[in-house]
Amino acid sequence: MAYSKKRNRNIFLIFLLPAILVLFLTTIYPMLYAGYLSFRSYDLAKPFVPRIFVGWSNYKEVLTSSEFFHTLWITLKLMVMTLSVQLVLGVGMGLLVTQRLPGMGIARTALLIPMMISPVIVGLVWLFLYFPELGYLNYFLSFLGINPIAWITSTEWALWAIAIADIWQWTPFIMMGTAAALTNLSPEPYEAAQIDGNSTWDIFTRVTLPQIKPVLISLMFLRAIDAFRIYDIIFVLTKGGPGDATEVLSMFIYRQSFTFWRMGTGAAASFVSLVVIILLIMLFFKSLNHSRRIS
Amino acid sequence: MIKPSSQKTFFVYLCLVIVLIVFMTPIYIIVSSSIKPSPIMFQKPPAFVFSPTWDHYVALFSERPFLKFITNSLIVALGSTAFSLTFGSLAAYALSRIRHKRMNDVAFWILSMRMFPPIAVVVPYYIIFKAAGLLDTPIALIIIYSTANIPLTVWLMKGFFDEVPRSLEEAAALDGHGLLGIFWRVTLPLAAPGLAVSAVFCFIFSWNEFIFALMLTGSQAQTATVAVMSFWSSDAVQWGRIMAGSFVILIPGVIFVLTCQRWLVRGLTLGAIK
Amino acid sequence: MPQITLKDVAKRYGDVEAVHGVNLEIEQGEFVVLLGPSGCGKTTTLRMVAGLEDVSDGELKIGDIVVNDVAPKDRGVAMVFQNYALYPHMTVRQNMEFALRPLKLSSEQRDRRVNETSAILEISDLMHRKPAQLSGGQRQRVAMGRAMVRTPSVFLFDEPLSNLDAKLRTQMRKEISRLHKRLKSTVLYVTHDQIEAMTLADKIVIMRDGYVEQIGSPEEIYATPKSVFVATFVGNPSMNVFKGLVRKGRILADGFELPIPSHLSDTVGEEQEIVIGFRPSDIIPYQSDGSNFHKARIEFIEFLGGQTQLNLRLGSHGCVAEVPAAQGLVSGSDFFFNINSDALHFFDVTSGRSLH
Repeated sequence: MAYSKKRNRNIFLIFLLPAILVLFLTTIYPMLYAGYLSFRSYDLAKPFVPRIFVGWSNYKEVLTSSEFFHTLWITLKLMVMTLSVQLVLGVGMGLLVTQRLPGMGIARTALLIPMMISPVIVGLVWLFLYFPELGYLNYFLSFLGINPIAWITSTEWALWAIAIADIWQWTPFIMMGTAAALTNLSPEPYEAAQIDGNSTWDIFTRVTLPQIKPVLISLMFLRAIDAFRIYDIIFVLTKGGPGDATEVLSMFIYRQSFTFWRMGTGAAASFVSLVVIILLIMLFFKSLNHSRRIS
Repeated sequence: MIKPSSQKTFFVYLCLVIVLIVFMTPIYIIVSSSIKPSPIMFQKPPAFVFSPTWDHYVALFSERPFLKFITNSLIVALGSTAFSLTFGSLAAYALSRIRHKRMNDVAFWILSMRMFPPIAVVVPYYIIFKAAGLLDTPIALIIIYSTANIPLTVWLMKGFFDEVPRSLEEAAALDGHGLLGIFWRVTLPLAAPGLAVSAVFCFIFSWNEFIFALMLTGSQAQTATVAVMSFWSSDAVQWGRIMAGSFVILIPGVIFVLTCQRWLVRGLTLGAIK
Repeated sequence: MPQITLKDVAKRYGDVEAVHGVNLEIEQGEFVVLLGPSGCGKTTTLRMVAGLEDVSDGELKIGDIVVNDVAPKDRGVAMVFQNYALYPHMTVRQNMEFALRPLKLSSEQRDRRVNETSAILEISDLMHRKPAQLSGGQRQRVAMGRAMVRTPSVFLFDEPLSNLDAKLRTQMRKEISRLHKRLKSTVLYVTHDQIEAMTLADKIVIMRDGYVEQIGSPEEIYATPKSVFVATFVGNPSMNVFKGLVRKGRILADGFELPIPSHLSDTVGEEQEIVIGFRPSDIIPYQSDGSNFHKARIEFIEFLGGQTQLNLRLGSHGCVAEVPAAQGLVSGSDFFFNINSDALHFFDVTSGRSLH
């Protein structure tokens, strides 16, 4: 590639520069600003009070408040709920739509639609289904002999209501990834296993699953990172309630900043969540290198 | 592959029907409720056959300037797409061609920019845009969405550029073409599918986005997603209008799934799976 | 004046030196082949001449101009790539026109050149097709056409025939030879196929591990290899090599012994170890009136039509002989033979260099 390497490298750096600059200005700078805010007492409700330096006190407040840890716990709980169901259901659906039978192509396409829908719309249509007294979900469930559930108004079920909406939207993601990984596999190991007379379950757990595992791990990390970003659906369905039953991390930050106008505390909470995200991103990159080797 | 038995075929189709019913119901609800007369909106058992009404759509576009909100969404989505594609594909080309061990770090740094929770930076954005007088303008949203769209474009395009054989560029260089000419006439045309995929994903992301649009726009630059949400108020939920608006917002995504589904995997996994 | 001169040209990647100080002169109109196993630095050398790789050390001249820092496009060279590097989104005509574009010719001139070249290569009726619609051989012709259309002073070929099947390869080889005679252009050609090298080259450059092993005409390379490597690399089946010990005017090898040839008596000392080499075709089956013969066991026999290849066990080593067919030989039996003493090669055991 070294056709006049030195000059080309400079041109390439010029290619790279605008994107880096834009990203720096739009992410690093606000983050630094958030960092600055997190050490200040900044109350938007009292605009004339100077933003005095308060040291670590915002962090202390966040890290010692039981509310913050409750929030973290809810985020984690929601993550486990959605990820586990999405994984099992998604792999199952992936196996289903890769069967070589007529009509599978159309079904596969139709099942991809939920992912492309705006999360707000997802929230709204599930709100329609959950709606107290009126919603259709309880009506449908009554045919299965299930008593009416107070989906969004009970502390017991509100988190499930959110999880179900998220599961509905993102299970197709796991399905799609599984289907893609399955179609990339070579048929020989299967033919060998079938000739050897292994059972279907054996073939799935010993031949299929190990081969698509790296891909699944990458997909799960992507979902886990997204779980920290979930916001719109909760905003529509419960706004963090009832009480604080569905107050995930991003909701906590929003409430601190825009409901109580405590920008400093909100910024400090943001930074704590950034640390967790960075950890997840690093794990994702690691898993990516593994799955790259497969595909 | 061994031909499945008829028993197995039946079982597969049974599962498929159940899955399709579960996953398609919410979409059916959006479509049907948008043309259902309000009195039977929640009627049980649900009316599958009814005389459709266009009242909700008429109300949507007449009671509020919904067309303006859609135009806002379009401006923001197209603006951010154009911006991200230009800078993103240039950067992707550089990352694909510079051979240096630090380049991987740069690529990963760019990708991680996409994954940060937006809520963590919404406060500073609010303050910065307020100071710059950019609150309630499309520019604010174009800038913010590009923050997510540039990394996406960089990663997708890098994958496509990596697949363009180096020898084609070398052949062009030997023939006397300059770097820009090679990029424009050889590499970019061959990576055109990547450009299309990136464009669609940038567009859909911007079109669907809600939080930033909610917090950084008011009556002037409001986008369609925020406008639809505004039909939801604690005293009276105007479901017909909400569903009509939802259906309008749904259209680009559905068109995309129907036309480019073979690129969907690659786009959604940021190029990790091809 | 040589058209291309390489003076101590070296290539380093970081700490690793891939090509060590190559010296080479290529005359106007000469067909020079860089031959060697993969990883020997031949392609890197070619790419340095093309300007696709920077020259780390030494001097590269085209004509009398040092081109170390000259961009590829200003070197007046054209290259045919191993995978052809045809632009998949352009038709054959567009591919050729794209090569002419930087020359800023008038449209008549451009059309004339493209049409002439396509006529020579007999691809005129493929001009509207895209590369994906062409066969391997056709792509090869288009790739050559794209190089020829610019009328460069030097053609560079990077393993151009390696993606073709055996029959097409023979055909295209003849085609390239014909074109070279017709255009009288200078060619630098990289291959790992010795048949291509032997049949095409005016001059062969044999490379190994980044060093030039030998430069010479095909006849020289075959008849007087300067090292064990060249001796065994060129020729099919490969030259047989044995270790031998000089003792009392004779050379003792595992399973046979020979008198020291007179021209060698001064260069070797008593008890010195040397390497003896002889080609399978220089093994002469025992004649009834022969006196001094060697004995080997036939392990198996391969009939190759006109020739028969014998795989022998000589002492504890394998050895290959090529003899005229129908000798009434059976595997497992003994085989008596002489070696054509004029065709013996002797090499130093440590350096591997020829002792002649």
